[in-house]
Amino acid sequence: MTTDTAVADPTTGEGGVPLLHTLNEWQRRVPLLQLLALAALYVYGLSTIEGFGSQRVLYAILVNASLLGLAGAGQTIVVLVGGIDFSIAAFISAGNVIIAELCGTDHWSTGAAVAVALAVGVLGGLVNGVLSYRFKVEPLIVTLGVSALLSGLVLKWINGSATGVAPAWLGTLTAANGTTFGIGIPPVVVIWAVVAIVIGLVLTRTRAGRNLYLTGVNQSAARLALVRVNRTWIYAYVASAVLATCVGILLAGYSGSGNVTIGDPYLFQSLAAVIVGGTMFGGRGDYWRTVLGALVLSVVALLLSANQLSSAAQDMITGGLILVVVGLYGRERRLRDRI
Amino acid sequence: MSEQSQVALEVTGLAKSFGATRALRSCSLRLLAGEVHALMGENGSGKSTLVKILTGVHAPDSGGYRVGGRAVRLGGPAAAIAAGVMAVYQEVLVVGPRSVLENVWLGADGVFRRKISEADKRARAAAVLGELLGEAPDLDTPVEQLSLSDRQACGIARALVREPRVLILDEATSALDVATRDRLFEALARRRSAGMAVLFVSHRMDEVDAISDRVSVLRSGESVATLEAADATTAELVRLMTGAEHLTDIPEGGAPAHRSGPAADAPVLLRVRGLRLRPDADPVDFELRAGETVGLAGLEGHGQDAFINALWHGPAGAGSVARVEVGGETEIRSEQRAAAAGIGYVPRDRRGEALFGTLSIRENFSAATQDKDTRFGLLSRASALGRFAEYRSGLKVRMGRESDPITTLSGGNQQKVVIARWLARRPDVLLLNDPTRGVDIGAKRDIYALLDELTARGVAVVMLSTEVDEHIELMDRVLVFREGSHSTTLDRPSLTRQSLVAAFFGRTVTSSVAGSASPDGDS
Repeated sequence: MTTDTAVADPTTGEGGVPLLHTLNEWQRRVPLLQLLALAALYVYGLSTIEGFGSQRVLYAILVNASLLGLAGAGQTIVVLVGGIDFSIAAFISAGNVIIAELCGTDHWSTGAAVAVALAVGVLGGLVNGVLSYRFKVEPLIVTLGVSALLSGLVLKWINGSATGVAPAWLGTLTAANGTTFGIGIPPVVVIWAVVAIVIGLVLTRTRAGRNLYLTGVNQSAARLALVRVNRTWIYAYVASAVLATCVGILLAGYSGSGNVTIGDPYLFQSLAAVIVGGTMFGGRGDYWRTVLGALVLSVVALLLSANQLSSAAQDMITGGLILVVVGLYGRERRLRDRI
Repeated sequence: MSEQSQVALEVTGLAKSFGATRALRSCSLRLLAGEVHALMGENGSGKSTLVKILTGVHAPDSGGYRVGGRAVRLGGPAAAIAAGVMAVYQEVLVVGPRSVLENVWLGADGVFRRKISEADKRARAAAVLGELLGEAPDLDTPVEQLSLSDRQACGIARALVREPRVLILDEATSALDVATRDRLFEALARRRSAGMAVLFVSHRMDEVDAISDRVSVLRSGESVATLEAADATTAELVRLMTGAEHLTDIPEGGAPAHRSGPAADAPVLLRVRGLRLRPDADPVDFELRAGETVGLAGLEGHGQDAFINALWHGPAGAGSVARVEVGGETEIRSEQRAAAAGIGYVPRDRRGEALFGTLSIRENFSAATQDKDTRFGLLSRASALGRFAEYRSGLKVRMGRESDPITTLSGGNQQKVVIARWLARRPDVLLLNDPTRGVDIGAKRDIYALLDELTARGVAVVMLSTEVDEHIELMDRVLVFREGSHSTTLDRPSLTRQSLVAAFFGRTVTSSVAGSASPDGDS
C-alpha cells in the first residue's frame, strides 16, 4: 500500500495460473466457496446422520439460521460501513427481556411493548454511532461499553432475574412446525426471506446502500464526494441495534420466556456469519453472503449436536472457519494490490 | 591533514526511482568538514529524496556515499546515525506528552539500559537548548506545552547533542522564530569551526546568503552545479534551477492554441476576501472570472494547498470565500454548500481521497451524482451508464467493462474517471488539486484538452500544480504562494520558468527574454 504508483505489470502476480485467477475472479462476484461448503456439509449430514434429510431437520436448521441471519444483518451493515458491533448480543437480550417482562409480568399490550423495545434499540444505536463517529472512539470499545451498560440496566430493572413469559403468538412465529398463512413454512423463515430481499435491495439499489459502501471503502473520498458520512455511519449503528432488538423479540417466542443471557451466543456468532459469508471490513461484500454464512454455521451446529459433540467443538470449528475465510480473502487482497 | 580527511560527506552518482518516477537521476556532492553547504532546487528536483537516502530512509538504486572517508553501510536510519549523519526536518517531530529532556534524548537509550547517565543528559540538553533558546526551558515540562518554535528547537537539539559529523537541516528553520533562528546560526558557526559539516536545505535565499559557504543546485534529480557563496546570485541560482534544457513531459510547441484568456467582461464567479491561511500570514484577496484558468504555485507547503482547500471547504480561519451568482453571493462554509453553488473539487491524493478502491468504475463515476440516477427511490444502473458514456469518450478513458473494479485502470484513467465524477455535476468552477500527479503523458494531454474545452464554455478552472511547465503552458495567470500567503501574481506575458521559480523563492527576475521564452506561439 505504500507505493503510490500502481503500474500494471503482467509479469508479476499470479498471472501464471490462469485457472486460479479465473476462480478468484468468480469468487469476487459470487461466494462460490461458501456455496460449495454449504453443499458439502449438507451432503455429509445426509450420508452420516439418519433422518438428516427430513423436513423437520431442515426447518430446524432454517429457523436457527433465520435468527442468526437476522442478528447478522445489522452486523453486515456495520461491517460494510467500516465499523464493528459487539453490542448485538446485549440488544438481543434487552429486546427479549423487555417483551417478556412488559407483556408477561406487567400485562402491557404487545404493540406498546414492541414500541418500547424498538425505542431502546434506536437510542442505543444512536449512542453507539454518535460516540464512535463524533468522538472518534474505536467502535469495538464503544459497543462493548454500551453492551455492558445495557446489560447492567436490564438486570437492575428486573432485579436480577427474568420472570416474564412471552406472548403465546410470538412462539408460533419461530416454531419449526409453524405455518405462514396456511403454508407449511415457519413464519420466521419467511420473515428472514423478506428482510433479506429488502436489505439486498437497499444495499445494491438505493442511495442509502451505495453511501454505506462509499463510506466503508474510503471515508475521506466519500466525504469529498458529498456523502453525509456522519449520518451514514450513525444510521448503520441504529439499524444494527434495531435489528438485534427484533431478534430478541423473536427469541422471546422461541424460548417462551425472558432470559437475560439469551443473546450471549450471538456476540460472536453474528460476526462469524458475516465473515464466514465473506464480507470484509469496509465495503466488500453484501447481505447474501451473510445469509450463506448463517446457513453454513447452522448446518455445522446441527451436525455437531447430532454427533453429540460439545459446544467447545462448535466454537473450535467456527473459529477455524473464520480463520480459513479470512486467510483466503487476505490472500486475494494481496493479489489484487499486485495487479 | 590529508585532503581526504577534510571531506565530511561525499555523495557519488546517487540514483533512485519510485515506479516510473525518477526522483534522483545522478547526484554527486561533496561536503567539507567545517562548512555550511546549501542545497537548492525547485519542487521535485530530488532534495527530499537525497536527504532520505542520506538518513537511511531509502536505499539508493545505484551510487553511494561516504562519511568521513568511510562508505556507509546501507542499513536504515540507525546505520546513518551511527555514521554520524543527523537530520532535522520541516515537520516538527516531537512526542508531545513526553518531557523536553526525553525528547532531546529520544532514541539514545536501549530498551532496558541507559547508555548515558541522567546527569550527563541533563547537562548537555540544558547547554544546547540554552544556546538555541537563550535560556533552557524546564527540562521536565511536557514538550507540547512549548511554542512551535521551541518544540522545533528541541528537535534540533536532539541532533546537536549527538555531535554529528554531518548535520542536515531540511527546511528545518521554517518553524523557528527569527530570534531562535539567529541563535541557531550562531550555534552552527561555532560548530563549523569544530569541524561539523552542515547540509542546509532551504527555500529562503536570505538564510542561504546569511550562513552558507557554498551552494549546490539540484535540477530534475541531477546535481547541476556547486557555487561559492559569493557567486551565488539570485539570477544565477534561478538559471541553474530552471535550466534551458529542463526535462519536461510537454514537448516544446505543445502548448494549447487558445491562450486568449477570459473575455474582459467575463463575470466574476468566485470572490475571496481577507482569507488568512495561517494566523500570522497576510490575508489573501482573489477574484476568479468565468473562462479563466488560474494556476496555484509555490514550494511545497507554502499555502497553495490550504488555499484551494479553502475554496472548497470554506475558510478555516479569518476571511470569506463567496460564490458570486446573478442573484447575489453565497458564502462557502462547507463542501456541501460549495457543491450546491456549482463548485467541483478533484482532490490531490487520488488513492486516499478520491478512489473507492473495491468499487466498480461505474460506482466510482456516479458517487457524487447519485440523485441523477434515482428512479422511484432506486438507483438505475442504465442511467449511470448512459451518463458515463459521454465522459468516457470525451475524456478518452481506456477501460474494460464499467463493472470492473476501478483499480484495473491505469493511474491516468483512474484520474479521468474522478474528473468525470465532478464534470457530471456540471460545475461552473472546477478546482483541481494537482490533477496530473502520477498520470502518464497521454492522459495528461487528454486532461489538458478537456480544460481548454471547459474554459471555452465559460467554466473557471483553478488548478494547483507542482509542475512548473504546466503553469507556463496552461494558465492565464499564476498565483504564487510563499510563507502562507499569496506573494505574487504572474500574468501571461511575464509567465516564464525563470520568473515563476524566482517567485517561489521570493525573488523577481527582470528577464529580458520574457517575451521570447514564453511558449505563446499560436502556430
